[in-house]
Amino acid sequence: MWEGAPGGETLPGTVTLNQGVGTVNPTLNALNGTNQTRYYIVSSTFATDTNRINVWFQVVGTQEGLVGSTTACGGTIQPNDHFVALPATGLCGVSVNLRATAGAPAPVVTTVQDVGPWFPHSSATSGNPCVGGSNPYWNTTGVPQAAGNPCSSNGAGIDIADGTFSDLGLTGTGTILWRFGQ
Amino acid sequence: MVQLLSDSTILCTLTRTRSSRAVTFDTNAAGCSFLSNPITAISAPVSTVNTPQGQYPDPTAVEIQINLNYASGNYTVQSCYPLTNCGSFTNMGTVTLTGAVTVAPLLNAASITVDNVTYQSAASFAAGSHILSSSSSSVAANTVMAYSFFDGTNLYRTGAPSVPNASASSSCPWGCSGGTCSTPLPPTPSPAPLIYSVTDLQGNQNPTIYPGVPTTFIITGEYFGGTQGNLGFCPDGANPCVIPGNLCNLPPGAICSTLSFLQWSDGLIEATVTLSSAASGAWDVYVISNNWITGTAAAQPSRGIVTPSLSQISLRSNVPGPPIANDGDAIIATIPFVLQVEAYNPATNQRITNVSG
Repeated sequence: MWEGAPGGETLPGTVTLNQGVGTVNPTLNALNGTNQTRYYIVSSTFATDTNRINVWFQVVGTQEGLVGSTTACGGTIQPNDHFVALPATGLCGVSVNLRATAGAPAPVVTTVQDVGPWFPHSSATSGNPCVGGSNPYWNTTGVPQAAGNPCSSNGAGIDIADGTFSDLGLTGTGTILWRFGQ
Repeated sequence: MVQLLSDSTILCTLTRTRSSRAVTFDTNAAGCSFLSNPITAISAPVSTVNTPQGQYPDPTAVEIQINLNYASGNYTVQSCYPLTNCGSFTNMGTVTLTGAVTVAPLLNAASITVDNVTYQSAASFAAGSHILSSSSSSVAANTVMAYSFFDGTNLYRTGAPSVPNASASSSCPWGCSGGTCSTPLPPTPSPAPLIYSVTDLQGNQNPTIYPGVPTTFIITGEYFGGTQGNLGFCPDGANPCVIPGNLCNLPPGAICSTLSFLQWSDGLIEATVTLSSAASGAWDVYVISNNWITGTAAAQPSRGIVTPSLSQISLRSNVPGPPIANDGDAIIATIPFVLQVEAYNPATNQRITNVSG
């Protein structure tokens, strides 16, 4: 039994054990709110197992820059600053864990201090022609609205402040993994 | 001729029992024609039971206890051994009656004959001979017949439907009508099934059966028959060990309804069984062949041992793919992943490989 989430997934309902072991191949798209995990319960006539799976999102991350600007959370961006921006409001201060690649030895943990990239955006501008409200893709399809959208030049799903970007060993624009939590 | 009352009992003691044998009660003499029955020539009830298939220590005394409960009336009771007059049955060797034949109080007036000679305290007779016990008593209607036999240590009992004129069924292979029973004899009688080993899927003897858990085990041996038969389970040393019609005898509340067979051949059975969650101790497992047993049964008993474990079985699951981080199972959204579920013994932390389903 899987924890429900607005991800639209079709998840396997049974697993068959053969010689004591069995596998299923689910796909998870989304989380509830800013939870770090999805949980599930495997039950049989003889035992029950409840477990959790950390859900990471693999998106294009862009370097925020904009030193000296004011963020949506009210801060002023400092040189070599450490934070991220996600394309939805209401996340200021929420912890995020980032990795450049799966298995990267050093996690980078920071908080959300800005909104973006690309969404929400009320009216098209020369710098951002995208128009739309918040895009909490981690609660829906798992894919940023900007990805594949022609209004976006890079399809990014997260902006990363300069210091955090450097800590991840990134240069320019790159695919990163992130999840909520420490 | 005897008149039987309810729960009337005939006790006979036989020796040198090495295989299955049969006892018939035929009030119409159709199954065992050496005895006529002038009183019950019309619609006489007939029933036949067979001893459970298996091999029993030799020499040993076998006590056959016959409880007759039929419709009220006067009947001739006839017990036959072997069943040569009721179908083609293999010569089962010489049988000797020894000692006193105990007859239930209500049958004190019964007479016992061997080949039409009155039984005294002992008698010898060859295959094809007949034991006849006759008495007369009133019996209650719509009751059942059962019998037991003793292998020197344990008393085994079995029952058989004895409704007159009953049709054959899975629990009663005999169909009886008008005093004649149809033969359940297969075309090729087989020796008793012999169990060489009962193992789990790793080859461990006397496999652990986890109570309440579908557990698979393998029985090797011979004479299991080419068609799927059945298995019976009894607590080891149970006395009596009743093997009812469904051949899945367990204590009250026990279940084995999930007994299923993955393989069945003459020399190998792979079965999955669910014992009750309350099951414990060692259990005997019996192979029940569809074939009849002849007197050439081999030297080993047709029973093996399975041992329900009192240890718990647990489930655990994980994502066996390469980790994203060292903080637990993790996946990447929108990408299919493998979730593995495993049954394991928490005491040993080892996977329980004979659990399927």
